[in-house]
Amino acid sequence: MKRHQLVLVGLLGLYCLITLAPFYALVVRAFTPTVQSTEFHLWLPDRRPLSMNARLGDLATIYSIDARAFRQEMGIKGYVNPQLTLAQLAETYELEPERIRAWLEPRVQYNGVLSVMEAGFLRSLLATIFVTGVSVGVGGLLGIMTGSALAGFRRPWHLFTYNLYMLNMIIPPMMVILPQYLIMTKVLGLDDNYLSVILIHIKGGALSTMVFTSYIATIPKELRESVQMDGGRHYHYFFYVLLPLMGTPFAVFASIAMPWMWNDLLHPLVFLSPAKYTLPAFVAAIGGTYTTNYEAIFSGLMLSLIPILLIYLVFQKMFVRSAVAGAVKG
Amino acid sequence: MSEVLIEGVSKRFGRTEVIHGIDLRIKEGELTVLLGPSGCGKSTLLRMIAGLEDISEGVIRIGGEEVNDLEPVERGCAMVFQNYALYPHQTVRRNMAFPLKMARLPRAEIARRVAATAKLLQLEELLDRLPRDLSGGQRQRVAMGRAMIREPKIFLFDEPLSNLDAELRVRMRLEISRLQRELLATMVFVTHDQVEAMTLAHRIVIMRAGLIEQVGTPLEVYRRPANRFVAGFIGSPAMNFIDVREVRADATGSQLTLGDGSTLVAGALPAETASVGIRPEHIRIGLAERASLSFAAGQHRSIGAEHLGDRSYRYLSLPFGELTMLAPEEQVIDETEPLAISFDPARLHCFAHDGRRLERAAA
Ligand SMILES: Nc1ncnc2c1ncn2[C@@H]1O[C@H](COP(=O)(O)OP(=O)(O)O)[C@@H](O)[C@H]1O
Ligand SMILES: [Mg+2]
Repeated sequence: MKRHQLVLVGLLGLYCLITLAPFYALVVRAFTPTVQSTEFHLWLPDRRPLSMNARLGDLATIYSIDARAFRQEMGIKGYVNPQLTLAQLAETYELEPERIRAWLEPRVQYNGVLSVMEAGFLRSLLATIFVTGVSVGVGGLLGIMTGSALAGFRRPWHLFTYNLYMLNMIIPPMMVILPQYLIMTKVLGLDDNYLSVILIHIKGGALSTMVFTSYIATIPKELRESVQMDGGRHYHYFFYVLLPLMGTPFAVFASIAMPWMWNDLLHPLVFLSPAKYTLPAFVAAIGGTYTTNYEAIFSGLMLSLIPILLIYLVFQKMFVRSAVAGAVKG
Repeated sequence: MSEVLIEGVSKRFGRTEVIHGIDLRIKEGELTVLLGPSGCGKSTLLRMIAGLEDISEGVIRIGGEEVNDLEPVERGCAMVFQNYALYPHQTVRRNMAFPLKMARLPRAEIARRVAATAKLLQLEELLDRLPRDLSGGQRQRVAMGRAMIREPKIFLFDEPLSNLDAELRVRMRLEISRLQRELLATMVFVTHDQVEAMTLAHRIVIMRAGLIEQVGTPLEVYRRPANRFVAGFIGSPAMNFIDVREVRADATGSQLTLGDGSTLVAGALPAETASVGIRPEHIRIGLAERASLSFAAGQHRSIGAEHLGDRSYRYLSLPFGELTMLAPEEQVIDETEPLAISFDPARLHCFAHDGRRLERAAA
């Protein structure tokens, strides 16, 4: 290898490191106990085994352990003094220490992931997949329809409409959140309904309009005329010719819009109740009330990243193709 | 009946008129070529026949029936576009079947016709490929197949060969000719390439700036161009034009005074001749008995030569202007020697001030 190639590879490697480092830190963080959260770890820290001298109340506070669930599991009725150590507990209520250990140890050792799961991660994940999926799908379809009408700007009002869509992009979402909330709840009656978040995601659609309008403008008009010559109507053109060609721009649109919708925190917080939160809002809510369980928060962040990473890996080819689209004439 | 009659047709885009009242008859079973420089309105005229473009004024009739308000499909035309307009994500088979699918033909019938057309165009092996996996010539054939499959009354081609390399273009030209003869189809073919026009056409329509300059068979437009524009457009290299200052007639014929004051003696020419044209292939080197010009050493200068192997073209700068001529390969033109050129006066084309062709009185 020549020297400039080595330099290039080195720089690329450095760039990868810088890009990937936060993800690595996130994974380490997800397994770092909250008590050590002020320390910096380069590798997963060793977990101390559960000490039978730990007090139940302290464990409950630090690890957000549900004391009621513990009592039910152990068959204890009534008030338990949180000042008791686990050893004293075993003695007082005649429990086998192994039984206490078996229930508590995983909650301490894998506290983050378990808390997230027990707080309803899967339900929240499904909600997020639903909201993001419908938003990307319907938003893309609307974008294709808008784009096919506007492409080429054949009439003065086409450009005007296009600019209106673009205007949408510069309005800060925070500024319109109150009127939007009023419209959703009072006018549309979509109080605590996933539909409200979906509607917010697909409204306006500056990005989809931009992507599809510019891509459709590159499709030769002869394709449309050819359908016309063969006796096809506009919807034949739309379904048989235009739609099948939309894979590339759709991947462009999805790869940009999907993370944004997936990571949307503001709108679910405002429009949904905690039982329906999508992932970012869910993660923000699992921190706890009186203390902050950092382990759980970081675990939640890590877990909510995994699905979208998977989607990217699965559709990688398509996204890459969309990135080079236009480089080669079809 | 598939004769196309164009009567007083104009086309305006907004306020600009690009076709100015054209009358034309496209005969049934003939291959008519619309020829003209880029931007003269050939495509627009073709698209008006197809029904892809509104007709601003005038009437188009196909088989006697007015089609101004008919949809493209009702006119019975099929079109082959310059970029072929194949549906990129559909196989050759589905591309060819598309017009029939739109016409709601039964599946078995569609399959039968696709097979028959594929056979005619030698596309059988390619039926399951996508357009992007085909070569230019194959795409071209698929586009023709898709046009043919509906058995249209009229085929419209808009510069279908201009995306092909030179060799393929010649092959496809022959192919189109063959199909035209086999199907006895009425075809309208748009091109700006005069070689294509000359080799393909039964009839050439030469257009300029939204008007028709001449309609005729290839030999007619070559031998008797209706005006200076057609004369210059048909033939390659282009015809030489020599400005004429004065024509004097005497007993032996006409004496022309050229731009530089030299004289040329030719057969009887019309008195209002303002310029004469002579094709490069009709000029000889050396003195001959009648129309000839001689130049002293230093009066003529060679400004270029094109050697094509079997023939070569010489570009000369002469006192009255530049001249192109066809000369044998081995012919040497020496600038330090006197030069004489001559031609048959019968090959001379005469044009009036406004460019109109002037007929010579029968000798
Ligand atoms: N859709 C259109 N809008 C405005 N002007 C047009 C349009 N289509 C063609 N023209 C104009 O009409 C003239 C003829 O065009 P065209 O028929 O495409 O020429 P050709 O095919 O002979 O090269 C050109 O000057 C072109 O600019
Ligand atoms: Mg054209």
